[in-house]
Amino acid sequence: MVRLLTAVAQNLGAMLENARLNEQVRVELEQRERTEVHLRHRTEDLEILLGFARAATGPGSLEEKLAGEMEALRKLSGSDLLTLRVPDPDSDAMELIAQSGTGMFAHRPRVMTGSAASSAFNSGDAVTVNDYAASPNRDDTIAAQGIRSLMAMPVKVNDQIIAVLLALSEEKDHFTTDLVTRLTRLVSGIGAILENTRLNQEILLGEELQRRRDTFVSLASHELRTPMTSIMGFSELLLSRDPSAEQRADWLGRINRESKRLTGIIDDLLDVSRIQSGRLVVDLRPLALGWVMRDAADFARSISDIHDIVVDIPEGTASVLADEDKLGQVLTNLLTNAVKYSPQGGRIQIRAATAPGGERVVITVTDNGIGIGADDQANLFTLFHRIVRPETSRILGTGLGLYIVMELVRMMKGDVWLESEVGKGSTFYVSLPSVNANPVGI
Amino acid sequence: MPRKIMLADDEEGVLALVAATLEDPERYELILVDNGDDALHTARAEMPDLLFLDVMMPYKDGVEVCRLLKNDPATASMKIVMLTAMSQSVDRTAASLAGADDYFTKPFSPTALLEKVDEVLGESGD
Repeated sequence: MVRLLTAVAQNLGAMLENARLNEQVRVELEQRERTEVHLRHRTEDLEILLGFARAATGPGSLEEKLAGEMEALRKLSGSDLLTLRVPDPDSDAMELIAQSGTGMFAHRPRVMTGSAASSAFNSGDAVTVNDYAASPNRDDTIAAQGIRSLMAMPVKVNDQIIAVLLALSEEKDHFTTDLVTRLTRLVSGIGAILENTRLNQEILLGEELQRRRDTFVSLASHELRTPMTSIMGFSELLLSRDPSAEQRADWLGRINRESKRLTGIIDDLLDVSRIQSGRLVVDLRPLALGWVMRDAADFARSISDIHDIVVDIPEGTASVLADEDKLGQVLTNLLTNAVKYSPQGGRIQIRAATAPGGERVVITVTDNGIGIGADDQANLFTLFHRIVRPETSRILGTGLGLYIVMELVRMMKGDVWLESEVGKGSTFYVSLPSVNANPVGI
Repeated sequence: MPRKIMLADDEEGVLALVAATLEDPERYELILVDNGDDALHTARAEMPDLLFLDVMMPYKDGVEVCRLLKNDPATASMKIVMLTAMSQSVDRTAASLAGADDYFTKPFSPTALLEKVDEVLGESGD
């Protein structure tokens, strides 16, 4: 009996030992499995972070960089749709800038207000909704698309929230604590891509601004030095030599003309400088076109006696909303160009007409001059652009006038364009907002 | 025998000023052109002792004209002075790389222009 009991006890002991060992093995296997999963996750996370680092420092547009990395992050998170949203500076909406995933969630509004994304952006913490259908804040339209759970996570750079990552799933309780923890680590890579792209754009913009400034200074210097050459040179000749009366008159005439030219260039350069720095302001008021068009025509007549300059304002033409001085400058500039670029003389017409619908008035300046080719038309309103043809070599100009015209017209909420054919002349159009109930008093 | 001096510049005022400054038929024979193409062809035909070239000209800029003349053995020894309102160092470098012998910046004094003519022609050893 004792032997039997001893044997049973030994067997029980062995069984218990076996059970203990089995449990130990099971625990170790589970531990190993958890470790393997953990290591696999770390490896996947590292690969994703490496991808982010490559994208953040490599070439390509922001859209290209985000497209690949968002897809990798969506696959890793098992989400059905992953979107990236940034705050719209002009409202409290979150604007969609990238997304990954297709299917029923693919068509999302570009902006979302009062959403989980906005909550995450404002609170700085991840927002998880594990049962969207039961959420008191649910949007039934979105719920009807099959969303069962979602997570919104702030994207931070230097503790500042710059975007929100929004992940959606058709599965309830998809966004577990572990998954949220992993995504929290990874989302900093998205922040690096956004921040690096922003910094690169700032650098490029800075370089472009510097390049434009250098070009402007160089060309402005050139334009100022040219008339100064005649003023300085002929005045020195007058002082150091004993010219004939005819020579003296010629030299003084040159000094006088070049002084006026220099004043005009300085005025234009100051206008360009004010335009580019945003310091030029317009004072928009209801304006009858009669006087301003006639004044511009009178100025054009004063610089040419070989042109027939005609003003045409049909009765009932609407007034415009414009700055009188600036519009005068625009029309004087266009008429002066019409005079200069029709060196054989001829008819120049300045005409105003209310456009169909009555909301705009179009002023046209038409000449029968040398005309403008397609290449020059494309660049005509660019700063310092000049038409270079044999027949223009004697025509003075700086390439500032039409740039100023375009900018002034834009500031008055108008448009400027032209139709022209080489050898047949040009028509410049200036369209301005009308003030309907105020006919022109001619 | 007067020295042949040529000026290419698209500014009529500059052509008139140089003409007035160098108005001395016993010393200078002047040739004036107003664009880059004419500058190249006329310089090859007339072989001036000294060529003043503006930089910004229609059809061909002065630096390009200078480079073409200096790369052509028939005109490589021609004295070329860039006469321009472009005063930045990058412009001087471009002129130097094109082979220009000197650089003269607008605005200039007629007295300084005469001195430059004497200096450059004197260096030719004639």
